[in-house]
Amino acid sequence: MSAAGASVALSIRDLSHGFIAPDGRMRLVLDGLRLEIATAEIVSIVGRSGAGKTTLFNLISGLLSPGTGRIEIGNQRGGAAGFVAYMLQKDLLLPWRTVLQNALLGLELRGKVMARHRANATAMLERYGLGAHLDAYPAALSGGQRQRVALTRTLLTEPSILLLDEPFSALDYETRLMLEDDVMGLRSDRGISVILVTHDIEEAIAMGDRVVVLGGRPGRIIEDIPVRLATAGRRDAANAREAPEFRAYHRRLWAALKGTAEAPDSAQIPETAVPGI
Amino acid sequence: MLFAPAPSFAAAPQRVVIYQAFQSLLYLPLYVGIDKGLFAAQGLDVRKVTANSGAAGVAAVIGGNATFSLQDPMTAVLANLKGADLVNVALVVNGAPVWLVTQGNSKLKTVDDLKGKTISTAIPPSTSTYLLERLLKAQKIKADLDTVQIGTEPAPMLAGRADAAALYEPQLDESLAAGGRILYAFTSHYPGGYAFSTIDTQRATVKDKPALVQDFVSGLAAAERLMHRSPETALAVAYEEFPTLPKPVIRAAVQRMVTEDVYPAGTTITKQAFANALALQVFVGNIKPGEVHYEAAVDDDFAAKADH
Amino acid sequence: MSNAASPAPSAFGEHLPSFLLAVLVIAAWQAAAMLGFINGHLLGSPAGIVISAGEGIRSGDLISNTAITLYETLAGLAIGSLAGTASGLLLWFVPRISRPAEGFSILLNGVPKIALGPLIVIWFGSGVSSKIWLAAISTYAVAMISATAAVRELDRDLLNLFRTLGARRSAVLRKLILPSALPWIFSALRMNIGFALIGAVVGEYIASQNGLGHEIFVAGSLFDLNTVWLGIIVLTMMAMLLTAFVRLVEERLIRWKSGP
Repeated sequence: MSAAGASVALSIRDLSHGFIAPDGRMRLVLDGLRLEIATAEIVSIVGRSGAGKTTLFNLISGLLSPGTGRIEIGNQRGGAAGFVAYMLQKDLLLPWRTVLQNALLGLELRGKVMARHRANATAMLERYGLGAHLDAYPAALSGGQRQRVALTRTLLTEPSILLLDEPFSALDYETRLMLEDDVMGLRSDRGISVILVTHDIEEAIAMGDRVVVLGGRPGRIIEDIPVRLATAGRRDAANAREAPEFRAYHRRLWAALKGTAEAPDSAQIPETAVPGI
Repeated sequence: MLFAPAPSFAAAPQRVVIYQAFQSLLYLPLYVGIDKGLFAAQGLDVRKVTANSGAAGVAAVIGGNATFSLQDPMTAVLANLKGADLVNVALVVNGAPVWLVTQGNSKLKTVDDLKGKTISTAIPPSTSTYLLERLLKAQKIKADLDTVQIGTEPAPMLAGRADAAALYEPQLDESLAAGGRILYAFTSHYPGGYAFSTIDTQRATVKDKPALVQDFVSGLAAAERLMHRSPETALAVAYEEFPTLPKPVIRAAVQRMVTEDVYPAGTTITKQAFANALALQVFVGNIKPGEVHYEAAVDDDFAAKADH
Repeated sequence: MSNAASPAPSAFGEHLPSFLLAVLVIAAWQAAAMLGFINGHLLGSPAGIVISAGEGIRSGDLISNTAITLYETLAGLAIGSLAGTASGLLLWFVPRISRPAEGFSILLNGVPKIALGPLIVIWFGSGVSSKIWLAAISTYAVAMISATAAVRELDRDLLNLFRTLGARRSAVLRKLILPSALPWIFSALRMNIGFALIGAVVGEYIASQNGLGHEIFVAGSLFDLNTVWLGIIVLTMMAMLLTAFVRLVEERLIRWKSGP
């Protein structure tokens, strides 16, 4: 069970998944994964290329159905059903809609957009510094601003779990730190859990309460390390990297990753999303 | 280069290009002349090119791509009004070979019955359409014209979109073979002759190469005499030139045109024949009265010598 | 961003050289005709064209013929583009026949529409409907191929996003596919203006009672080259105006394309 009686946001049990290779045999990508994520917890998942990160991402987001095993999503604080919302490196904003219209997209596809939704969205956009750009088109915004709009869109649907696939790696360092702070703020503001799938060990440590290492072929959970950093004041993206323990975690994770055999032929494992719905 | 004033069998035959408006049964005299060696006997190697329209043929003569062209003489006359200098030298199609036809089961009996009906006819400028328009005006009949590509006039009638059609040959005999009926024949109305299709050439050619022009007209005259003497010969050439037409249709059409003098007995373009053709163009409004004269448009010296 | 020393060129200034060139060509042509270097009667002259235009406007024939050809072109363009675009987009609903259907339409596009002309005229008569059909057929394949390509180029991740947000297929069509296909649809439309015009004019050449193509055809047979030139000029102007109009609409609707 998870720590301190906090409720479980996501529970993965005995998850295995594979595909039929061109030669007709079943290739296992993930083997017997077991993972639990608590409410308001940030978990980073790292692994080498071909370890099955993308497959795991697609399974959690619901784009793929598990071969065997279960993925269970816990209810939200108010009792409503929980669900996973995800963000990619691409912001996936619709170029023909304004910033505000893009933010409202998630709500729009689920039902009618009311005045309070609009007010909500406007407030959130303002909080992210986009108040002056509500009627602008995405093409006029910077990459960082666009990802913030995407974040707003994602949050407005009130998910219980935010699943991120390196959404900030294409941005400049300063913007990236800003957005990392945005995400870290979510768990205290809203009780949202965050699953961060990433290549970047530094980001994994800076943001995560735990770091999970995926490795081997087929992919298994090799390590599950809680992260405790002594920061000056509340932890944020910048001071996390300054913490004395940071380098030690980094070494440990780096060693763990190096120890896992790189998939000899990572090209064989398809990393593309195949919608299972 | 090698040119003998009189037909000389020792010299190589001279190459002559003639543009015809269409490959048509009406132009059989030309084909008889070529296929039966009557031009060759005059020392000429005649090549025919199908132009797809009368105007294109005349343009070829003006441009120097052809020595002669075969089409409505009025096309050359119209070009002259725009500054060309062409002259008509020989008659190929006489009379007005246009017929109004209805389907066998049609209720139409006379021309008057065409009031308020639809008649399919060739897209202008086509003599058939002009003749039809003039007939309708003269009889004060109002009818709708469905203008289609020449040669496809029966189609709207067969499709039920038109009640009658203005046809040339072989469409006439094709329709008759399919059970159609002649409502009106334009051929019987021009006893003095009608210059329907003629050979024209540049006046400069007449001046610079009179022997060439004479040889051509003489060859043509010989063909026309042969057709009247021996219609079977004409028929044989027609079978060769139109292999896709049913033989009975060709036979009926050729016999009809020989009998009705549509294939003329000689190459002379008479004043009357020319005047009849001119009157139609004046009616339509393409030519103003008094604008065109026989003497300027026709040079009948060659025909006069050839017809003896 | 221009400094005071060198003002930015105006639109007028940009077009002045081509305008002057056109004036020069026309003047040379007229002079050649007047001086007898070319036969102005037979080959046409600018003055003759203007006279033909004047007569055509006075008698009303030029206006009515232009209106008819314009109508045929627009109707054919609308029908072909709508049918083609709809086919291309809706095939997204039935992906299994999308590939073979696209192959079929490429085959169809390979058939020279001009060759179909006489056939269509025989089927539909010599009135405006056959010209509209010809124009529609000429434009259908391009519209369909464009729309199909637009759907295929759609970002897979966007599609997945819509799906995970719970959108129904009709919502995906309306809110994702249609807006993203607009640039493709417009460029196909601009291309199709020419094809529709050709279809209408060729139909008129083959069989018609009126229209600009009919006027050009008959005038050619009567050696009235001035009217032929006039017809060609009016057709060209028609094509240019239609294209400019489509561009205007395109810019309005696709405002979002302009970046910082």
